[in-house]
Amino acid sequence: MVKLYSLAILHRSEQGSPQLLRAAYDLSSFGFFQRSSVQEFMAFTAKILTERTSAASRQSVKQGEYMCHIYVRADGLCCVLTADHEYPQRVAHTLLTKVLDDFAARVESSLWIEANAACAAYSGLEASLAKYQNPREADALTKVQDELDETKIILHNTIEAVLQRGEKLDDLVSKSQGLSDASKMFYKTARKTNSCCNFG
Amino acid sequence: MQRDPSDYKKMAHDPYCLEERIISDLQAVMKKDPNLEEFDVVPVTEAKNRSPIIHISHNLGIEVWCVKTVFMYCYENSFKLDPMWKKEYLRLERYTRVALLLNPNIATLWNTRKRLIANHLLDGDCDFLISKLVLSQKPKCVEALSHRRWLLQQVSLDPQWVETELSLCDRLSSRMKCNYHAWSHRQWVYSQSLKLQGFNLNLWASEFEISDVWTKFHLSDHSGWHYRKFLLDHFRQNLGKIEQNMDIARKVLGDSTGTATSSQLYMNLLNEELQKNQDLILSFNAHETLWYYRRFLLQAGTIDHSESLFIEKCCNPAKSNCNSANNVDAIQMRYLEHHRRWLSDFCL
Repeated sequence: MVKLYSLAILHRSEQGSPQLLRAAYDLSSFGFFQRSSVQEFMAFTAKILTERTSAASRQSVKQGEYMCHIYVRADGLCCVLTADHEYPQRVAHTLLTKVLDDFAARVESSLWIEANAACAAYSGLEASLAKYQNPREADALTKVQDELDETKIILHNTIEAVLQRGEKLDDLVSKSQGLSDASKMFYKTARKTNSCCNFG
Repeated sequence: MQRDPSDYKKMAHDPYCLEERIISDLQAVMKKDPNLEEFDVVPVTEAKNRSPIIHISHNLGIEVWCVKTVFMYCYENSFKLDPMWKKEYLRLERYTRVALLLNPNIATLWNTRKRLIANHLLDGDCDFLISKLVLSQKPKCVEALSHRRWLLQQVSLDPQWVETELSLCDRLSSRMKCNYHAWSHRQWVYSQSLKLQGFNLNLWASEFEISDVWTKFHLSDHSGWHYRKFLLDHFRQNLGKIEQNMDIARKVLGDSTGTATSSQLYMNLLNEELQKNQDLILSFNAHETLWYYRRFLLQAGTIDHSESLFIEKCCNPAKSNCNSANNVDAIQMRYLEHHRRWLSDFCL
């Protein structure tokens, strides 16, 4: 399946945790009652991954049947794309560059500190998410931007591989304030049954 | 909440116990809203003092804390009641329904419902809804799909049944990838509609179009590609019937070149497919399904010299990414080597 689930723009300052500025989701393939939890988990994953990616670098992290592509710019602006394994990695990372360039051009850098009206007014994410569901659309884009060096993308097979020594995903989930109790419960059951809906 | 297993037997005749009330709530929602779309178990941290049944915009949810006790209650009682004893069939219907919603993999309970329907104690509409709800939560539930197929052969069919089933299949296959059961069901529905209504070129063409869009977005879905093969095979088996309606066939397939015979039309289709398949193989790395499908197309048509041209294209790094020293491309090279070997075997 070639599918994009979410696109999120975050900003990481020198101190403090990354702030989610704007995100777009396509959750149509999830059940009605799961959508809010899945969305919370995508935002949560985006945050913990950007925290653990060094500036001016790219990572692709596999987790279950999902693949998170992360790009952190030198100026602290980050973009996280959640897709499936079959979405071509090269296209995903080109898309990240394009989304961030577009965002930086439309929203002033002084407004990147936290989610605010200016970020909310940026409407490009939904359009990109819908358009690039078809990776052929991105094909033309890939051919123009040859500077993307694929060998520099760091690949990880699980989120655990990205975590620092001594950190556990379960602990991060239970400590997180961004996740509701229902979502934590959802995470626990999904982990237990190892069903299709395990995300995060 | 915890109960001792022996409690469930004792409770069976208490119409006011917690489980009975929850079942009644659930049944009331299903009766009130026949257009329910989805069912799911909703995770909540603790039981609040209200009904655990949630009904939001045609979606039915049950809070997780009561699932175990309600299921055990229904399960125990479904096996205790005799479907042939008329006085009990209403209760039996009630328990099997909830037990199946919570755990649809028990074929015996589906069969109990079949017996009720076969004996005219129950009409089938409710089972269409139950199986639909089950599938919304577990899109690969083969028991629910087989129950549906049985129902479709038993009850008098709604004129819209083909559309209903096909759109159900659409939902199931997009909900979970490589959903073999959903595609098998689709094949069955297609074949069944032909059996009842005869060969219909419009239905064939619309299915072929849908599968075209699907396979483009789900390159590694073996079942989806297999359905496409099924449709092409079906076209070949009905060449005679298509021959009699060449005007319609040309129109439906968008053929403007004035192809004279249906077998020519079939060859054109195969060639178009080969071209599309080549584009996909060249632009997306390492999807084995594409190679399988290619070999089917070659086998169905005839292999000519252009196949070696295709292999050359795959090897040429200027036109594709095949030769860069990346792991995925090594897999692609393996598929290519396999294909080359198959080709030489096949041509002998």
